[in-house]
Amino acid sequence: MAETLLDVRNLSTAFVNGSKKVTVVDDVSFSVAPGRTLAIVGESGCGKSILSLSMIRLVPDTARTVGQILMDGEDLAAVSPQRMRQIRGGKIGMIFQEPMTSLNPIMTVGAQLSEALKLHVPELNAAERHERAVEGLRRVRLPAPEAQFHRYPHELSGGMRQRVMIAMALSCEPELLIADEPTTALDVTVQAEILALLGDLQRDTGMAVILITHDLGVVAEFADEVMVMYAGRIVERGTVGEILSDPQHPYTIGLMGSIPRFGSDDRLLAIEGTVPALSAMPPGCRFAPRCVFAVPRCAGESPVLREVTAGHAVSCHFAPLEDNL
Amino acid sequence: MTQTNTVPSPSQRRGVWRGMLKQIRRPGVAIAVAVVIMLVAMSIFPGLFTSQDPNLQSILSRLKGPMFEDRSGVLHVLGTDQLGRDIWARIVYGARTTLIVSIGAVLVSAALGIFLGLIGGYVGGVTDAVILRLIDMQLAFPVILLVIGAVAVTGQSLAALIFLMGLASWPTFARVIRSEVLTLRDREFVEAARSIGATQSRIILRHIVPNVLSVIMVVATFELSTMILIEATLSFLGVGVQPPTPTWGGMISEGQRYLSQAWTVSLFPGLVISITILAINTLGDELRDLLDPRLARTEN
Repeated sequence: MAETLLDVRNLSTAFVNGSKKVTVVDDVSFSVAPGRTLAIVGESGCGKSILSLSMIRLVPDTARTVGQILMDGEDLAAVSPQRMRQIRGGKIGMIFQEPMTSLNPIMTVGAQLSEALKLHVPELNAAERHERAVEGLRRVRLPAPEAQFHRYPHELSGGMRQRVMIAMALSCEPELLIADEPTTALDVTVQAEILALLGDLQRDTGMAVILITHDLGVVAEFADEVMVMYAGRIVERGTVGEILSDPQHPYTIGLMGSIPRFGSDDRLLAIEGTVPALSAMPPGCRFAPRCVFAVPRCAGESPVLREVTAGHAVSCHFAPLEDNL
Repeated sequence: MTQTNTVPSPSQRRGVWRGMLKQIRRPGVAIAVAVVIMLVAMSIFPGLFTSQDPNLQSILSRLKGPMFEDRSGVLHVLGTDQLGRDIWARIVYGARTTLIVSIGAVLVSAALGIFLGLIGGYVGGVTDAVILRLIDMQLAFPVILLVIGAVAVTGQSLAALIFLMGLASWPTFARVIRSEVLTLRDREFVEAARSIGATQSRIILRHIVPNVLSVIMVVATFELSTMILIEATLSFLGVGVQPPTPTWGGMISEGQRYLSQAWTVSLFPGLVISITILAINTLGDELRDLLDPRLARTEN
């Protein structure tokens, strides 16, 4: 990894309620290079969405974030709210999970697209904005972009709306796109189209993508690097090939085992138990209570994230598993 | 190459108008619309509805019943009051005062209520708690009593009356807007607007306000009829608009002293108030049904 676009160091986000403090994202560090895709994988509630919101400082008011988010020499965690607004939608674009509700129901598609341009490229006049917005719609391959411009969100299908959202996020040519489960709410064929579109757009623009998902199929298709999160922590990180073909953390192995495979007669292996409550995390390895390999040491001592091979880091006392078990 | 920003015809709003047109075919709605149009016309062109001077007194033809024809051959359709003034003419000319006062008061209370409701709902926390307590305090105090007390201090003038009536009834707006904003604030599209770098004021003005506009319109309609009633009550109690300016409430008030001799003096303005409020509330109901997708009509 020669150059780095985004470098997140020791990022933690906690929700504070009176004297109670619940850490949702715990000491997460990673970096993304330009033009690459990092997938953040994990089950619901593992902190991946809060992590993405923390990066653009849109967490709810009750949350506190510490750590550094370095982008082009700027620490996003420390810049002024005004500067942060310039960065959101400017250098960093974001797509959300629910295309059905992420568009304002009483504004036309065109008006919403123009809004981002109005905020970030104020020197454009109305005609130029219109032209760029229509161009944006054309770029996300929306049929008849000129006509869509005047439509309201309720006149579009889910896939079309997600395309509009992508056009909005990309309208100011961000260097980084954060996509929070962009295809989860769409049906499978539309999902494939949207992913292909994102891939093409990434090739054209050279932007980096952080893809948040719980779908390992999407990861295999789209990501360069993968970061697996469990209960607010990174448990494993590496290239997509290594993670999918040679997972080292028992949780990642469990995740892989729980994907149904076509033509296989093996029983699906579910991971036993449930994620511990965030307010009652075990002191040691957070996966220990569900881990088939756990020994007493796991419950008391928290494993550190360490590289087992170059670029492949695992947070487990026994990694690499083949040698140590 | 591409056409410039032509204003798109907003199809949703067009849907509301189309819905309105459809509803007008129902007799109740048609009558309500006709009544409101007539009221507005009355207050703008009172001369079209009567040839009489509302303040012309005649001691000879006082307290006469309907269809009274005086010596000079003028027909008083609804009769005359205790000073011999034509009741129909006074009702017609009173429409303007009544409408100005009540619409003005609705505007004042809407401005205040929407502002505080937006702030409370959007900002939340301590600000919201303070605004909620203010609403409770205001609601605990009867509007009419408050206005009577305040008028005693400020002295009577049309502007003061409008302002005080508006000031006393902002909680209705504030409460409804606040709860509406509370649900809108956390909607995904607001978050999406934040993610493209929109400022707080832009989010409020461009994303939240347009989404509560339909609610505001409905509340304003119902508030309008409340204001007409309050104005009538205040005029009846003698702290509203001062004579000889004709207002409906004032006419009822003046007539009640002569109820045993001429019941028509109070009855007709009372009827007009009832019809007006009925019409406005009917329209408010229709508007709410049309603007609220959750109450989508099943009939066609």
